[in-house]
Amino acid sequence: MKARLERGKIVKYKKIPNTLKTISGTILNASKLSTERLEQLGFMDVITPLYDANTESIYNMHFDNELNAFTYDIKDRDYSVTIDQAKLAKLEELRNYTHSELSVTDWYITRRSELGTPIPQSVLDSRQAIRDSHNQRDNDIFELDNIAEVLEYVI
Amino acid sequence: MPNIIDIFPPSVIDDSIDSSKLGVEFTESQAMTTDNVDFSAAAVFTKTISGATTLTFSNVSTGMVKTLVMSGDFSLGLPAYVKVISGEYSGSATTNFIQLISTNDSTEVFATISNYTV
Repeated sequence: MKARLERGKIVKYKKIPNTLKTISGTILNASKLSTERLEQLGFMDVITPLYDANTESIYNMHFDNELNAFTYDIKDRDYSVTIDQAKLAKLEELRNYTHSELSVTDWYITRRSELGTPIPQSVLDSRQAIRDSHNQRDNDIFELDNIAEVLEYVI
Repeated sequence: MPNIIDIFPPSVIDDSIDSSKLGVEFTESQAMTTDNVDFSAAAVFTKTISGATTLTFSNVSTGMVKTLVMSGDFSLGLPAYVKVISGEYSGSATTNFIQLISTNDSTEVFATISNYTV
């Protein structure tokens, strides 16, 4: 990605426009211009710094003379939820996940209740494993005491 | 002594001028060897660019219509007074057909671009 300062604003370009108007004329097939020529026209690379998207955010795009490129500052993410709200949302996510996992074999339960057909032991075991996993993750989430950890927790 | 031209002013018979009587600027196609488009030299200019190229125009007069037949996957610069109305140059096209018309000598030339690929 490139960016250029235009009328006091930084404009980002996913790709260089095919037709480019400059003070000295119109350039066709401008995406083929050399990096050096693009830089002469103000098109500089955009370097996104490494950051943790769960706990940090990038802001304030600016030109960095040392990098000779546009880049961002990094700041801690300003959470709009409390840790309790984050935990409730994560537990809801966990419940939905477990429900979808169990629903795959729900028809065995329905068949047994309607027809009395026994449920295979392997199915019973897999459903119990799903429930055990759910309970473990449920405890894990409850014990987290950092909002970033809650948000980063992968179900 | 009266001038013969005054006595017998030249006239052209209706429908007597065909393209064979017109100058090269209306009839010729020129393979460009430089990066200059001499509007008085041909009607059609052809060029395959082999590197970043910036064209210059010369002898541009109002009303002149020229066609550039260009190819090559490199950037192509046009003079500042050229305004592209429509179309884009395609480096992958077999031919880029750039039509130019001067509406005010060398201060305003409009361009339209079309592509053709075999």
